[in-house]
Amino acid sequence: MPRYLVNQLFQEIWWHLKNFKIIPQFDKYPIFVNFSQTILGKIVIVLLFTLGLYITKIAFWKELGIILGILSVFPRHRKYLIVLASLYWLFDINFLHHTMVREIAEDLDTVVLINWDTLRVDLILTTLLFCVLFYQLAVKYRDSLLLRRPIAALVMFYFILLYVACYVPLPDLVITYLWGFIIVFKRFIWFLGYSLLDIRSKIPTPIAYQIGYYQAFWHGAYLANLPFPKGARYIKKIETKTPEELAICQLKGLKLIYWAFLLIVLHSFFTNLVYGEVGTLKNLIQLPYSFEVVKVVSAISLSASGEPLVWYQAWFSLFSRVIDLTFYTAIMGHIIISCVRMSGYMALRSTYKPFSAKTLADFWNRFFYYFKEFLVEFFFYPVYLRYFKKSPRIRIFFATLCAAGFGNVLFHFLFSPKTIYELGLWQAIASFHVYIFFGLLFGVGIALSQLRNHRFRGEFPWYRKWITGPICVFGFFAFVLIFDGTESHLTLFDHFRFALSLFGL
Amino acid sequence: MDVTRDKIRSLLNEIVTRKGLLEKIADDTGLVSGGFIDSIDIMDIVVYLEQEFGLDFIDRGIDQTEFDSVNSIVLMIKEMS
Repeated sequence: MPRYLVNQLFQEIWWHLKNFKIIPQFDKYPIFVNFSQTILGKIVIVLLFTLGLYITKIAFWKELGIILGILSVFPRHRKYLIVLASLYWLFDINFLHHTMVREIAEDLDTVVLINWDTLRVDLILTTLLFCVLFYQLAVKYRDSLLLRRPIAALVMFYFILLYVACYVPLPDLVITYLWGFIIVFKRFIWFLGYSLLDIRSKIPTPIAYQIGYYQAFWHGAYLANLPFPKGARYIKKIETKTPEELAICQLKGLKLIYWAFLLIVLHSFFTNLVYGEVGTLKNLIQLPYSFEVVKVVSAISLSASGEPLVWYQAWFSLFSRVIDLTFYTAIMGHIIISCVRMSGYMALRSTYKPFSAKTLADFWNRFFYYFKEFLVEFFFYPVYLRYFKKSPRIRIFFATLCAAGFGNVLFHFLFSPKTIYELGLWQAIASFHVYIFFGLLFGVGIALSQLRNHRFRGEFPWYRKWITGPICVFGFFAFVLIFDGTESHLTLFDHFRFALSLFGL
Repeated sequence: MDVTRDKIRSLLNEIVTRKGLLEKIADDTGLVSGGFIDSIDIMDIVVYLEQEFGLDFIDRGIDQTEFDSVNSIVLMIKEMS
């Protein structure tokens, strides 16, 4: 065979391998895009998507399927339908559980004084009204000392609430309701935050419109606390405008839910093989053999009790945690974003090839895009615009540390009201010291990576791109995850003991 | 304003080609919504606007949708100057 033909053949094979997709790119074929714009096409897509939700074991697959079906048939009324669907989600589906409120009521002996049938509705209505009130105050007094920085004011307010609930001697019934409000409000605080960020924009989005996207129904697919995909203003920006755009967007959503399903299958194999646990697909995947790797939290507890793992077991434990967390984050993001896309919003994926990152900052961007964006918008920009303007390097370092460190810690701390109730505010902060250390370590890592990126403008050499870069990123991320625990019974010292056991010490 | 437009176009082209995402951008290409630039790239643009045009974003804050395209950035510069 002539040499040029061999070359051509190899080039052809290489091209196909390079462009091979496990899930075909239906959104790129006009025949599928055109079909998806017909009523029959919409029905087929929604049915296939609902099937995808069902096999990925989403609890409310039927409700989500019906909502998405209605949205697909009436795309022009999308925003009103989403508000209705979200309200239905909030009030009618047992979405905001009040188990913790009941525990507090039992603790304070106020169970009989509370009307449990209406409690959830009361608390949600109070919270939504409060959000509107806070927003209106922030608009009216936007130049006042207190509300010039509305996010800081919001966080301060939440801490004052926590302080009052923990330490101010109020009647038990009031305390119970206050904790109820705190527990529900924690799910809305960052949604309100996005509305507050919008106040200074050129054409602010009306609060009535924004409220419709607070805990929009797609968050229910995975009970997420983080606003996906950001606030109402961004959601408006990525809305599809034409039937063709909607068809492409929905096909991308369909692909994503099946991609999430494939990840769930892999994750189930992984948990079964590595930990010996049955994963999400417990009826399908039961392997005869397991490595029985000890989970990091248990490994740290073993180190604390003076029985550390052998060094290679400790490494297995740590790397398994990284892979497990990556699966979890990707699956959660994919499921939510697939619902967002099915609703007609062309949102970017939340996790995208994280292990192809060449730097830590790039990894963080790929690992959990919307959390990174949240930290940047709420913590990085405000600091970056105000401080160290004359020292560019310190400016980047400090702002990145505030976002990846302080913002990250604050976000996780505010979602632990149970610990705060049990220990009191100050003790809860003290018990969070390991995660605070994690935030500091992680923040410094990202900040240094940012600085290096900023200095380096060229193309990375091949070994940095494919070998040292990914190894360093994976290694550092694995290492900081040692301190990612929020278990209050383990101290920083216990975590360090585990870290030493990695090196046989 | 054409000089401004050229400067912004060249800056954005530099950013997206550095990331290997696009070869050339049009003035109305949705960069943030299309995923070609992210919040960290916006920071580079802010620094450039501060230095090149003496803009101050403290009061205005950063609204990512204003950084979505060459057109929207040029409009923002016009409003802030």
